[in-house]
Amino acid sequence: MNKFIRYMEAYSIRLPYILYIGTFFFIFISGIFFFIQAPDNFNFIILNYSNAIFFTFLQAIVATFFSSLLGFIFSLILYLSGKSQRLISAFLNFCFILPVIFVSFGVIFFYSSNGVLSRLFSLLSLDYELKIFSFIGIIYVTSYFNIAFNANFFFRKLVNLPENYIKLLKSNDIPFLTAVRLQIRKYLFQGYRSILILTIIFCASNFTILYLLSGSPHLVTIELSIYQSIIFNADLYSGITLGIIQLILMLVLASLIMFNQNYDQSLNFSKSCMRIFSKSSFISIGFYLILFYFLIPFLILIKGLFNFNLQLVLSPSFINSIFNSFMISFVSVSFAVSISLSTLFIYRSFLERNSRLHKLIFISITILLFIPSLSLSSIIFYLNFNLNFILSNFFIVSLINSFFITPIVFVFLSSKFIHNYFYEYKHCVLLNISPMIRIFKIDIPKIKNELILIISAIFVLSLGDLTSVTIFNDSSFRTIPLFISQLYNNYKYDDAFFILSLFIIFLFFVMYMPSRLLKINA
Amino acid sequence: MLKLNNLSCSFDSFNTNFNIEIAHTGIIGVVGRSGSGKSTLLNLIAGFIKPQSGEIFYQNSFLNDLEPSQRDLSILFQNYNNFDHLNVFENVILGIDPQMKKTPSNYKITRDILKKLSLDIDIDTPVNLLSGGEQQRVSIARCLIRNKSMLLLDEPFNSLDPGLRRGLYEDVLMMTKKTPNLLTLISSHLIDELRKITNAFIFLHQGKIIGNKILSFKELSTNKFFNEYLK
Repeated sequence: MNKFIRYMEAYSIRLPYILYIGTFFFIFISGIFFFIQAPDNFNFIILNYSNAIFFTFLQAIVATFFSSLLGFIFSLILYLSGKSQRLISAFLNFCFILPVIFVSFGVIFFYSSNGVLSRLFSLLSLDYELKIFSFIGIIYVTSYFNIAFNANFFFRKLVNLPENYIKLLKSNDIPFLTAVRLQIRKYLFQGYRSILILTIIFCASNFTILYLLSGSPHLVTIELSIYQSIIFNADLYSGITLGIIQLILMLVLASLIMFNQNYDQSLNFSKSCMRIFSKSSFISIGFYLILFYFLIPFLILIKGLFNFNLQLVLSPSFINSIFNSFMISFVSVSFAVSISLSTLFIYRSFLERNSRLHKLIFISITILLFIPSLSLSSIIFYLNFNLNFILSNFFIVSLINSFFITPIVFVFLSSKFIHNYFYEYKHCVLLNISPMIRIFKIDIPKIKNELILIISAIFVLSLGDLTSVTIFNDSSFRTIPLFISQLYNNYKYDDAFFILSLFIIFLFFVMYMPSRLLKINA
Repeated sequence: MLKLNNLSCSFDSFNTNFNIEIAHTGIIGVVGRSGSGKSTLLNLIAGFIKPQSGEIFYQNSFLNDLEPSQRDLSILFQNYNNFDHLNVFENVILGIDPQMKKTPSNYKITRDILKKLSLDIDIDTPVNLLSGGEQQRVSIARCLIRNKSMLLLDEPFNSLDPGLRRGLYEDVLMMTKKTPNLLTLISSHLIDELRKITNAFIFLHQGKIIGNKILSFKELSTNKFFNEYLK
């Protein structure tokens, strides 16, 4: 009886993963059925989309180049500035997860033809010709997030530089930049291949940026074509075909790092650890320039908060969008956390049994990192269409969001969750600790801090998402980012910036209150 | 009585074959070079390694089919004997109550056992804030409250400094003396320290128990493998 209860407990913990895998394959098989069931008159000509495919990769490669280069340079300057490591890393993290709509509108507010910079130029009687609704604008905003992502990678590497390396450099009087070039380059770039490919994938899957900043029919990516096919042309089949093309291209890229499980981004801030910092004024100026670069989108807060509009805040449509956003985020986060914990439990049990199947489990979750949410959306749209729209938009958006954030939770929690698994397993077996007690009384307390941090981060990510909701929305179903975007499209700029400002301030508190309360490394 | 009968397992090119009958209680030192099979022997007895063949009997029970938790024993390893994120109380009471319920009786049991080990610490302290020696004492306390008749210690104190080790060996000696019918198998390569608490040894060489019996230090000294080991 006792054995049976344990068996049931273990399976109930595995259930979220089993349901996830079931849903994943169901969606995947539906995608295949799409080809079988396509009507005879459906004639997809890939050449019609060659421009979109070419532009997807062109902008991805250019943005990746700037993100890597500037990310590396920024990290060096930030490290050498000697400023608080904890604060810098937390700030870079926050910039990486900022809602796309916020950064895009912030950049528009600063750089557009009637933006802050343009006004500054006209005060100085200078011509201003920068067009932000262009290739430059797309690259700028895409790079913004990925520079933060890359800079954080290198910054963490620098902070974790072994103390002995620093002692060696100091005792041999080797200048730091020379050491970066010659002695520690290999250390800094260890594991960077994964980050580089992730950067390319992030840059190629930037639908929201294109949606907001593409000012020309030539500036179209695969994702934007999917959106146009489904929403404007009502051509569901082309949309799905493009979705599958994008999916295959991303998976080919992903396969380059799938078996290289090097995601550990742990950070040890130690008060006593040796550091190198420069008193050069070049570094100080560089530090403030970088700070300014990342703070540019935040200038919108000044404009937004000066346009306080109580009527708008109390309007039913705004309250409705808040409710929808919160519910979606709550459901998505609950799905993502339960799937991740369930997967980690299975992953660890394979490790404990010394089985290689743990790699398969790892891949089955991290594969979601590389599936563009618009490709997934197009397939689910098709599925729902065939099921006579049985699934509500709310459920679909929550599902897609949870698929998008699950691998982030899994990767973030995995190293702490499996830490000492070998010894813990032996103690649990010896002390007859049941799977349920192990997960709730031992595992969750162990990862409690990390869990709270990642929940706040994915809650922010989920609240700020404007990808799948652009397809799955109707008059009664809107989220805050969509509400802001619609205000903007209706030329209500002041209202859009006002709501955006409130939204960002709220997200800031969601993101940083837990880490402040817990006093842990964000 | 503990009886190992042709107990064998193999990893890569390493094969073991253990035969012994241990009729008495008290402390028995398990010694041998690194890789001689000390940990394998203790893990086989504990049930963490399934033998390929052979039998283990303990107090007339056939152990091979039993899960580690069903065996009348406790085990400690060199490292990670506690759950670092749990506090002292939780780590100790885990031995008898996996739910770690904060009841007055559980608190009393924990305090009593810590007192027995002269461990004067706040039981709500996270265990990772304790010194290495205190942490090992907490894990010993957990073993004690489980009230099992066999204690397996797999090089439990080797990562500690000599002063702490001495104190912990004395704890083990005190604990074994105070608990009638407790059989303690303690593996170590620090034979001089083991000699202070026992004169009964199992010497392992290349996966086999020399003499297939318990030997005194004097008897061991006549063995050429043991003398080579001491060099």
